[in-house]
Amino acid sequence: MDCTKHRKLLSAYVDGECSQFESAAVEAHLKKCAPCRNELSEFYTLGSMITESFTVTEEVDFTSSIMASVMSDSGEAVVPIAKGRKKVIGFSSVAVALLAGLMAFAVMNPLEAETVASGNEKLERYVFEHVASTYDGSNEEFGVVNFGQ
Amino acid sequence: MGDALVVEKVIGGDAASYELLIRKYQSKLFSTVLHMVKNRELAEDIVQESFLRAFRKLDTLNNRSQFYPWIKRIALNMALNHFEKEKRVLDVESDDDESSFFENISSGESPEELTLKEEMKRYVRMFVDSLPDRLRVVIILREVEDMSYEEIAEMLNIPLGTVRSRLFNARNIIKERLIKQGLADGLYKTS
Repeated sequence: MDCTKHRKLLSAYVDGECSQFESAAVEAHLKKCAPCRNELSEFYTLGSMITESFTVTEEVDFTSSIMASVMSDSGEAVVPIAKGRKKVIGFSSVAVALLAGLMAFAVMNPLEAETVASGNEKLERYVFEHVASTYDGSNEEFGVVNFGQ
Repeated sequence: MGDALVVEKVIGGDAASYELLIRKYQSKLFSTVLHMVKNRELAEDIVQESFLRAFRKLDTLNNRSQFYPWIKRIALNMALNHFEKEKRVLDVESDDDESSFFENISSGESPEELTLKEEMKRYVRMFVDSLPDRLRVVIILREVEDMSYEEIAEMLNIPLGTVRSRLFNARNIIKERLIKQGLADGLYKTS
């Protein structure tokens, strides 16, 4: 049996890269040659072991730098999709937190009627003292204050 | 969203959508390139440059759903150009390469410390990495990247028969090394 000639073909045979004629010759030889059948098994196993030992994917992230080049190439501003979303979520969260804080403060510190009235009096006094000289007396209710007359 | 749709959007002017393709494929592409060039920094440069080149030429991609095979080809060509620049020309036969293969192998941990299959895989990986470039590249393109002989021949610009003989030689060298390492039985036990 001419094993040497056929063994050279086995490597291409496991890859499905033999011609029809070669495949037929290899198969005929394999039927009567146990050592070559073992060799065939070894090639199959070796192939799957190489595949398995190299299929671990290493996680990397070059998104920012590639997108910076891409966007500069296309003349647009860089707004990474995921980061942009994160930013919107971030601003919303701050706004909601501020609003909730203000509401809580308002509930815990209600304005009393006396305080409000006292504030109004102070305002009226201030307006009277500072702008009364310009008051033309046209509105006794102080509903309208005309400056510069 | 499928690749074809993303590609269409990018070609249509939505450059920001290109990020989806980068996020999807960068790690896979990096691993492929790293197997070829065995240098992290160089692999990083090649991956980034490949995405940029692909973006610039995206409108030439006829089958829009074939983005990954297309960019992989761009990256692998760049990796091969690196070999040429380094004057490690792949189709030049050299006996020195064969002998240096054995010097490149480190001893590592004791085989008894690992299970047979893990141990085999570890050694197989080590033996592939230690092959001369012209053999290593061919076996990675075939076994890891699942490329046909014709595709490999075209990519490396070598005859089909050379692809065939290099694969035969590479497999035999690895097998010989496994036998010398006392791991030949693993080829049967793990199958």
